[in-house]
Amino acid sequence: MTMLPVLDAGVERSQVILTVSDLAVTFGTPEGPLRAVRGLSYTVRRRESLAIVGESGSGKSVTSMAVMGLLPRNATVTGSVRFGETELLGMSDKAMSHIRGRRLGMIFQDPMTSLDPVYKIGAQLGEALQAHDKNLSRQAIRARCVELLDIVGIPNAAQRLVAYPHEFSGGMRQRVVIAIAIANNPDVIIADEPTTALDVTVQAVVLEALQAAQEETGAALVLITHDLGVVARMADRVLVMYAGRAVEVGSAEDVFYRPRMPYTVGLLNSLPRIETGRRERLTPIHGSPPSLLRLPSGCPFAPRCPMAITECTLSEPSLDQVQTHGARLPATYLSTTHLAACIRSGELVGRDRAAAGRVFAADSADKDLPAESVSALDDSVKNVESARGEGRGGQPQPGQQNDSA
Amino acid sequence: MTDEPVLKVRNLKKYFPIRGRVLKTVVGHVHAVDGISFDVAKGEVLGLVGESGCGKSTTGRTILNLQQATSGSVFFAGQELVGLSRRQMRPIRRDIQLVFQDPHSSLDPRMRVDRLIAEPLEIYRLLDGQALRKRVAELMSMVGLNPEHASRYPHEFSGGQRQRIGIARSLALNPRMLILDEPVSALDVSIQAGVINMLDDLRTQLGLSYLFIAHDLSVVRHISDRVAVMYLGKIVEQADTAELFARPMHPYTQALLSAIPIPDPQKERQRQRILLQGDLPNPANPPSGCRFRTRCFKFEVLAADEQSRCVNVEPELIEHAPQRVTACHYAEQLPTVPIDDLPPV
Repeated sequence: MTMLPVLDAGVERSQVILTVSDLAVTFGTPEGPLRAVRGLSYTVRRRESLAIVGESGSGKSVTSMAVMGLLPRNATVTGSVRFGETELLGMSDKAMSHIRGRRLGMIFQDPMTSLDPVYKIGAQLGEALQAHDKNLSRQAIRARCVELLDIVGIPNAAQRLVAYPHEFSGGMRQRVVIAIAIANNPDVIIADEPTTALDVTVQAVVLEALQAAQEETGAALVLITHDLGVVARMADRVLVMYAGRAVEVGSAEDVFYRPRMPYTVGLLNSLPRIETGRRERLTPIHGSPPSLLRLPSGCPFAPRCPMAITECTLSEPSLDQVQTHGARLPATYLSTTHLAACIRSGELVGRDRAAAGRVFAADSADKDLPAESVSALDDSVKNVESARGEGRGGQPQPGQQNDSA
Repeated sequence: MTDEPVLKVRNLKKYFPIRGRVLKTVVGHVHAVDGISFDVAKGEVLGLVGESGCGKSTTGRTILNLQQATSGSVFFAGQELVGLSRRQMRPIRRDIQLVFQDPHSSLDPRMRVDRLIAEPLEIYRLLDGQALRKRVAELMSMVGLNPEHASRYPHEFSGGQRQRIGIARSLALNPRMLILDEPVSALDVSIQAGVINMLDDLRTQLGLSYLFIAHDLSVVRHISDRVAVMYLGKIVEQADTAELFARPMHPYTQALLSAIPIPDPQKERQRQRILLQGDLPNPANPPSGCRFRTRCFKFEVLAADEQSRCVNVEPELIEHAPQRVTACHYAEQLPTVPIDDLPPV
């Protein structure tokens, strides 16, 4: 299957560092194929921060695991992931490991899946450096390690090199993981829920470290998270995922202030907010996400959408440029534009977040049973987790990729 | 609130012994809850917030006598609970119920939903037959579930619905108070909103009081009338919700509020953030004087003689205004989060 490359409007090709086109990930499960990611395309430009947001089961983590080549064997990956000029899908594990850790830095939720408990911090940082440059002298490695820990804000860096991970708090460990991720000046850092396990005051420090690390290396950041506050703080652009697809893409301002896909509207209005004086009644989204084993025809959000009409159930809407005034435009260009996958997005034009939210009712019942058990997805996600677990130590162990493209 | 409070906690302490490796002798104590006091009035929601390890969950469990208090008093409707036996606690547990965080582990997967909800009524032998079925259906509607799904099993429900089943169970005995320990933190935001709305509705309909324990300050702000902030086993600040969020006084509260990322890109990027240094001290050996001083940004800029007060004198909770207490020698109000439309002062 060949796909047209998706380009950026007004952005030079050399500025694009990561291009994901029509990425699809399917897990074989006893209950049939589970389509975790279904035709996802996005680009990441140098130095920019792209946040991928979505709730559990939306496919946001699976997407990043596919990009890094870390999916388990039962995953089938199709489409294209171009890193600079290199196609990553279908690449051998050996070739892939030259890119991972050197040009592609990775940060996961739990720092203890990335750090080895039996080695000192300095040894683990040094290993990351040496793995990609055998000629480094011991002094050079040590100096660089101290420098890296400084960047991420670990005090007394020189003394800390001889400490073990268990002597560090969760926030400090995550900062060490960030230091390892940026050790070789990567072009892209992929951070999958990097602060989800941390307390809010620690999260603030770790996000600060992540920003410092990004600034220092000039890397682009792909941040996968469910926390819209973290997105607002970190992201230049936002991609919202639902049921394995992108349903809205745009600048942080577009997505937060002028959401045009009802799911995004619902998500933003379901959040309790501390920054407004009034207590607004929250507007929940009814029902549950669809089972990825048997998706409904048409728009996957239609069963929960207050704006759904018969037409919505006929075919899945494409991700198109949102209307400002006049007709919808096809999505030839990503990245500088605001895209939404909704045939009625035009009706939200001119409404801000709160005004758009009035399409949802602010009631409190939840009467419908979920379409189907989502246990199959849970299992697949567990496989992903265990694939991560095996990756303890300097180099994560890559999973097999069955690339049919 | 002139009524006698439903729940009155006075100087409650819970220490856990630390035993030596060889002889298992007690070598020290973890000061999980170290002398806290608060009231919850009828129909009121008190939010108890703090970060992991501050003792907020231990507080909830100790109030219910699920673990014995080391010292202090808990008065529920005027009756002292500390020191009561399990048997003596039984009638009280009808009135004060606990809701847990994880709806997956708090429901028996092999029991039908109607049996789960009816279980407390059967234990207390309050209802049976037709009346019991009617009550179960009523409870299911009350928590926003469809009573027709009464014969289903927990796995057929979503996470948010399972949490609702847990709440229906806790409402079965017509309690006067719920202690909710992180009731929505395991749920996705779009689902969480419905459960929060439901808790809000139930409180008004049934005149319930809540002790709402959570780490998520936006949720706590949304649902609470008053908020108590805990740090390392102590309450450091307690105030009316709007007051606390608009003008926090304790440096820890100020840092906590400034650290919450808010879902508004422009505001979020303009904000001044207070970054706390270091880690939570060991609760087995808390710092002398003010427990927060090791991470306090104010402490760092104080003169040496002012600092000695923080090091040597434990700050008491001082009442700055009615219903507004802060435990800091150098407390002052600070607006941290840009607020759209401030309520009139």
